[in-house]
Amino acid sequence: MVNTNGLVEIRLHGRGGQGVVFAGTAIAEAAHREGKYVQSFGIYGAERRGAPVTAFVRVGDRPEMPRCQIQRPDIVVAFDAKLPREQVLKGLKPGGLLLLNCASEKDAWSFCNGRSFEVWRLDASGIAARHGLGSVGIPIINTVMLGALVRVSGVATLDSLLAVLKEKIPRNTGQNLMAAEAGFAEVRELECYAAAL
Amino acid sequence: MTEKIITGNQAVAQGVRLSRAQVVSAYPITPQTTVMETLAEMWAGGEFGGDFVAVESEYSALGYCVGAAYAGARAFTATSSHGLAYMHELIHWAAGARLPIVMSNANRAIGAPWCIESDQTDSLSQRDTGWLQLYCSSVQEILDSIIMAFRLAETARLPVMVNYDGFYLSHTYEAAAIPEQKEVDLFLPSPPDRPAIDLDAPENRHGLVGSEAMHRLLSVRYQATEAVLAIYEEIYREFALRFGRRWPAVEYAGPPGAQTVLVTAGGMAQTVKSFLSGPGRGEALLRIRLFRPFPADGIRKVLGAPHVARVVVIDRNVSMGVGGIFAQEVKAALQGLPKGPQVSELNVSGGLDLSPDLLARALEAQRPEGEKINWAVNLL
Repeated sequence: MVNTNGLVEIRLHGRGGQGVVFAGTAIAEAAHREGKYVQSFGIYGAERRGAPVTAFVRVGDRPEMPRCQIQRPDIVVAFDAKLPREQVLKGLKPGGLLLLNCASEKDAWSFCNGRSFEVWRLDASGIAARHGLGSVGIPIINTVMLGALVRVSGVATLDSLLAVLKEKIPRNTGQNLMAAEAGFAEVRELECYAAAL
Repeated sequence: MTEKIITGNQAVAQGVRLSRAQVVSAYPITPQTTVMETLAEMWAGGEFGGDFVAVESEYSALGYCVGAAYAGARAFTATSSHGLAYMHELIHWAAGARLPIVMSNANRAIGAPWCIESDQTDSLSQRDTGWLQLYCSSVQEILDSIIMAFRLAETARLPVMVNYDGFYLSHTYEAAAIPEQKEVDLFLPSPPDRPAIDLDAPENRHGLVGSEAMHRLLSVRYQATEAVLAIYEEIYREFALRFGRRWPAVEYAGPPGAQTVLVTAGGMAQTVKSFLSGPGRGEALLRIRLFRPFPADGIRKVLGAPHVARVVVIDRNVSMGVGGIFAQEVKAALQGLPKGPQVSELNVSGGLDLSPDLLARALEAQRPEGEKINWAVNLL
């Protein structure tokens, strides 16, 4: 998943309170541990829980990288299939990749109807709830999404990610590490035949 | 030296800690707030040994630094946008009193309306206060610039403002080398620890003067500011020798004979640099890092070369009725050349995102008849 100039551009979409910007930084740190050049930043208006948040990550072989928002991502990560679909998918490169948190394959299919990119899905909310992350009805899914993201993007290994999470997460560290491993294990590519279901 | 993934704001705090600032006073404002939060954490954890003074406004923050600097302390404050504007009277005072204060400013648009996007008009509207001004393009450069700024301020006896783009740099995480304290101590010796008031030799400074004395002081300060060009040259070379990183007053990147040169300041330079390294491009970049004093000779040397036919200045700021502020300064620097380049302006004020696509469109677009500025909004 590397474009021609050795740069991978990842855009993450979620909501305030979901740890989207943290996720961007964690994936950047994991790639940096493996000797890559990285950049990570988020945009948000006034900080509010529940408001849409976008984070940007660049991972490359060279220090020269643009310092602007990512309008043509190689990879899009959507923390929630109820986010505005047009915004989430805007500019995603043909042949690119979407990682989507969605409990149902059918909903995932309708979210990215007419796609020209790979779609990988996992029920991150379910996995997070299973690991006791967040409160009832509001699971905290960012570590699950990170586990899935290292697998589908290849920008860092799971080991590097786990090392970063161990360092950066002071509470519920064990559950978060297991949740990341579960995200890595359970993410699946959406198959074409799913359309028929 | 350790390498860490930190934000631009955390880089400021690291620079202040390593510079052994004795007094830090500031008031929170987006997107600067995490500078003060990080310094407060460092102070609470015993890593930062200076005084941390919480105040009720930016005016008081700079007032506190002015008092501390009068007493000989190494003083620092951080702000942005409306906070900087609120300090305005004391910004003049600090320069007139020749106090070597260092301030960081996260560039942000000034209202009305309220806007927290990145725009350089906040610091550029303090252009004529007499502060030295630097504009940074990476997290590493911010950290290094804070350390260099104290050395520069104390050598020239003039205050220094270190500017960097709000959000695009203040909140961007990237790798930065954090030097060891002992390395920094060799470059920037600890300030003397002396009592704030000498009761045996009381002084009254900067009382009322007449026009001739005022005029004389202004001319002396002008010369001191001009001399900074040479002082800066020396300081950046020493910094490069000690730390291996070069931050010249103006930076040129691109092919040596480029006919078109894009000129900008701050983080946008990295977008331009990366864009120009792509296939099929032949343009070059000139980044202006030192804005006051203005390195006009260095800029003339590059843009006045016979092969340069076209210059495009990209400004994320605007002076109403004139245009982009860097563009005006560049045009003034090129004045009087027998065959100077054609200078045009691309304006992305208000924090507009300068993407590679926008740059490509701007370079191809013909300026509408009668318009001297290419407003990015017309290219979106």
